Amino acid sequence: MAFWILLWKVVLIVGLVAFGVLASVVTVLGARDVKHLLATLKSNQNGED
Amino acid sequence: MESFATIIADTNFSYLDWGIVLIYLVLSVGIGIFANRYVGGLSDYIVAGRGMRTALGIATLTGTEMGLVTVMYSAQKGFTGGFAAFHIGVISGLLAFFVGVTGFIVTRLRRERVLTIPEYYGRRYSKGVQVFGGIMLAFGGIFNMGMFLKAGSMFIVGITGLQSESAVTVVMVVLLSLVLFYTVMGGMISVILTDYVQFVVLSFGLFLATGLAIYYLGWDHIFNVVIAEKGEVAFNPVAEGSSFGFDYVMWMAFLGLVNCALWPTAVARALASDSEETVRRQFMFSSITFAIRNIIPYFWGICAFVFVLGTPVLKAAFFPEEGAGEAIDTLYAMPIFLGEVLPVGVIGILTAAMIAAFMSTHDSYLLCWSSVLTNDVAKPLMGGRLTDKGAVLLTRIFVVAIGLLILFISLIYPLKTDLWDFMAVTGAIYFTGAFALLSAGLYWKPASNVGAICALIAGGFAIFGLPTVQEFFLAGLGMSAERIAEIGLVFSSDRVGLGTVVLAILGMVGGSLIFPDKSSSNEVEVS
Repeated sequence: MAFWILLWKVVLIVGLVAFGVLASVVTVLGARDVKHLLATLKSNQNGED
Repeated sequence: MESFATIIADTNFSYLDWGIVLIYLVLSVGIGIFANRYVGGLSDYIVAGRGMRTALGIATLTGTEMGLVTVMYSAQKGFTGGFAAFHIGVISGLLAFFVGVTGFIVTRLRRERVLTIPEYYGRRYSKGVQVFGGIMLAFGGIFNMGMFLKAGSMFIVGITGLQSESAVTVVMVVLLSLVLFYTVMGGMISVILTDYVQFVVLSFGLFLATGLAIYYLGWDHIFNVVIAEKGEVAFNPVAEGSSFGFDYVMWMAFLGLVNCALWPTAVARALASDSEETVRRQFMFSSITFAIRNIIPYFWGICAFVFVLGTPVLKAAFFPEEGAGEAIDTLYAMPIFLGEVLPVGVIGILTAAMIAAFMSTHDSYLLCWSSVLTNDVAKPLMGGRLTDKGAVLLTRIFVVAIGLLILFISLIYPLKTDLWDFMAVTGAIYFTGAFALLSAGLYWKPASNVGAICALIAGGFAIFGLPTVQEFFLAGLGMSAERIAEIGLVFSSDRVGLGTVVLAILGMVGGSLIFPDKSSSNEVEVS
């Protein structure tokens, strides 16, 4: 049982740290991607016009 | 034993928290109105003009797949199964990473530039398979979504301590109305934009609540209580006497693959991406969220278990002694725990985060099923008479109709079975057949039209995993109600699910070999 307890402790800690890093990066870069998406949609609309 | 109303009334939820929730809801509606100005044609509405890049893709995939219903059923699993439930999250993350590295199914679909999965069926097999596959997908998907509203509303009622008898119904109607409004207005564009905001709020809320739960209960104390109360079965999923077992782990492995490579709402993100490389990166990085979306709620459920055992009133309510009345539904354990340990203000942020999770899942699901009904059922049946503007209008009508249908299912369906089992079975109606159609269509040249139809029909047998359906058929065979109750489940849902997967593959292989396609005109690139 000691193996499983250690495994799930490691999974929880590593998972939280990895998600923390990912969430921070996605929050910053995601804002940039939103601008890009809106610009793409706007240019699509202009192209249709 | 104290009443349910008295127990949930102990929440710390205050007017300040209601204010935080209200601001968030107004923001979501505002985004829907803003996004509407960018909707040009059907591809803008369904796949946001295919202009989404990696970071936004990860945010929207996470926002969609980490729904409040996921948080609820996962917390329930953590409450009942302990740390052993973590295996589901780990398997799910590893398989999402595998899909990202190999591009299994998702990159091939992106290459086809289809709007939906059944559209691929139409190109690879025939229009008939597209329509039939679209109906099966929408049926399984809408049925699967039937309990989302109720589970989400149970969370809100549990954490806020709303006292009215009709509180769950009122919350369902209010939340559904908001989601319908901004999904109808802006389609995939508003879904992506709100998903991004929801990702930020949700991530913050998850960390805050997890940190405070550990601070309140103590890291070592959580493990010590679970070890003392449950022993090895709470850690080892294949231990003797475990509520999981080997069959269950195998079924979870298949579900893990399906969740990222086949589930239409996840695939929709791949189809909306700007390149195949983006799709791969999106799934590789999202593997972390595919794992964590289960692991954190499991942990909350485990913390709720420790908290309940340490609080005499709650212990008596959740684990009543014989003859002391009915136990409270274990779905309520996690929201009640959070409602009692999180401070004012934080509880409002967390509730806004959970409403974010609720809404980001509903909007994507509503859009996904309605897109399929428009693109793969109505469009082929109308034979080119449906214009682009007409298709957008029809999709919006389907969004509202499906919303009303799931409200109806939530109101009439008594949730007697385990919520996770209900979802796995209803989802399997679609994905067992789809697994055969997509994997064979993309990677096996002899896959034929007849094989595809056989596999889709075989997938329908997954519905026998529901206890109510098994009971219905046993009653049809003339068995008495007493005898049916005595027998219980004839086949467990995990065995029905795995059996249906095998049946669908056999249907595809057998049908294709016995009835190969006469012409290869429908075939697309297969390697």
